[in-house]
Amino acid sequence: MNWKAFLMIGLILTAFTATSALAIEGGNARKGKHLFKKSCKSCHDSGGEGGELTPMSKTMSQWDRYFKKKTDDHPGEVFKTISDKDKKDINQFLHDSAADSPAPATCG
Amino acid sequence: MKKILLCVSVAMLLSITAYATDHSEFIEGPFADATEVTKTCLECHEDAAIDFMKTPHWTWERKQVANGKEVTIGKKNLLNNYCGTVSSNEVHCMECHAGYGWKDKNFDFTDKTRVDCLVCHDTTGTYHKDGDNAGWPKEHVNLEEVAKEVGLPVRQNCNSCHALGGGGNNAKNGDISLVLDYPDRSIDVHMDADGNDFQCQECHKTEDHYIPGANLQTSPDGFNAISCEGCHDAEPHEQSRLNAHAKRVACQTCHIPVYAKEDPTQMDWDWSTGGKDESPAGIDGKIVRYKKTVGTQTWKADQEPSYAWFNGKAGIYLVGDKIDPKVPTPLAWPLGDINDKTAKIHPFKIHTGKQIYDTKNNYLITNHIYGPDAFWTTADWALSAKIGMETSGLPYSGEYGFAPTTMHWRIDHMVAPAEEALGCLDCHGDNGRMDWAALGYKGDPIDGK
Repeated sequence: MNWKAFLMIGLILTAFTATSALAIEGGNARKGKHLFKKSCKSCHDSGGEGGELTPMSKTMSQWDRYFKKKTDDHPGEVFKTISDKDKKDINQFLHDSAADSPAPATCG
Repeated sequence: MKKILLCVSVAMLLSITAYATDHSEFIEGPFADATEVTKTCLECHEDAAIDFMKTPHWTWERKQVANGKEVTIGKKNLLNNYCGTVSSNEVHCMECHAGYGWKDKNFDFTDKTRVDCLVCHDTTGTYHKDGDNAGWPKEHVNLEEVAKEVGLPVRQNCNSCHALGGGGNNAKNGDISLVLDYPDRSIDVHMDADGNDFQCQECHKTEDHYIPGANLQTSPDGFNAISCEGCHDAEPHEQSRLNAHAKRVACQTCHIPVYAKEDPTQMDWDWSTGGKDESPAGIDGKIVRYKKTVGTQTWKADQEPSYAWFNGKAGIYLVGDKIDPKVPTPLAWPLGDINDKTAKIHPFKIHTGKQIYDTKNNYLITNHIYGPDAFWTTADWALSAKIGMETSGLPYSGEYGFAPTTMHWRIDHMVAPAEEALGCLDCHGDNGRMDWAALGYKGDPIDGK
């Protein structure tokens, strides 16, 4: 095996480790589903002003990155009222039901 | 009305108590395993395990009279219309036992450290058990974090087993699904998360860890069944005609016009097609589903209940009872008829199935489905039947076939808003939903028949 192969394997392992470390955990996904329907779908339903969003709209890491970054610039008023704990639960639901998750879901 | 106000007041008091007890001050980890958490809980809650170990949530059996004889029965030793029997399949089934490590007949029911406090008292929603390790929590569960956040059970705790048991969300009951985690008013007026927000123990009033309720199959004697009259008056309507109905018609009949709201429930499980590499015809993957390991299943949402007289007691199939394989064998069915003055017309889900049976001895087989030598792994009916019967101790001829079975399930949850309750014509109209002849009437009783 040459050095290029070692480098490639190393990069893959690093990327995998980084992705795993970033993954959301500790949120209540079942409560998050309720909160997503109740709070988010008011704007993010079909035809809504925020554009339709379902868990399958993004991948697991995309959802995690969104909630990890500063979300104060979200234009929706409802979003600003959601507590950090509730956001974590919503993030967990969206992550667990994302397009590349073991159980992708269109509900919400 | 006074009773309702009292219920709400007690609920509020209990809620305040729950929030007031911050367990993070008392709990210190890390914990080597889940039994260490239990030991910590019992340091303060000294009698909790002693009380809990007396209940069917721990024993999975109870001495009672069924089919006219005294028996000790429960989930532990009955045969149902889904995965069959617990016997020889404990490692899988104990995902829903509130204990740790019940993997075979040698489980120590006197070991208090094996009580699983967290499955009912977790408030984080992160505590999960698996169907492959005899009721131990999944490896990734942060036991310390969960233990620090314990509180009174909420619907999500109960649903983890009562909604998911039997092979998927709402597989069994029909009226208990994950939609009840946080339902809106149209799903259930009592549990409406933005309204009454009743938790299960509002009606299943719990004392010393004993949770009342009477599943048709495991409590055929009807012991400690829940009644609407626990909160509502026996004559709750303004109209006397409706109150007169309440004498022979259960509240649930009019007030739960539809079950399996949002989440479909399993209506049929045909094991006879299992084990084949090619799925049979008619599989659409949604309503009718096929897997080699389980055979064919039919799932439906928004179901109109079936109706039968019910006096609170049930008949059940006991392991070893003879069957006639040419006709459906009922495994649990309501007792009572039109002449039984204690019986009322009650809504039910009727689940149908086809199950493996001994063609020479003419009784259902206690099948071995979970494990390296079991049907889900080998797809070998002959082997799994042999092992399953050896474990349960029932003589086995070695010859098997498949016979039709049925199982009634009480419909008690998913109570609709009053304005959606059944109206007169829903039962007494030209296309009414009641099968009057099956109920013992000569015709619609409104015509004096």
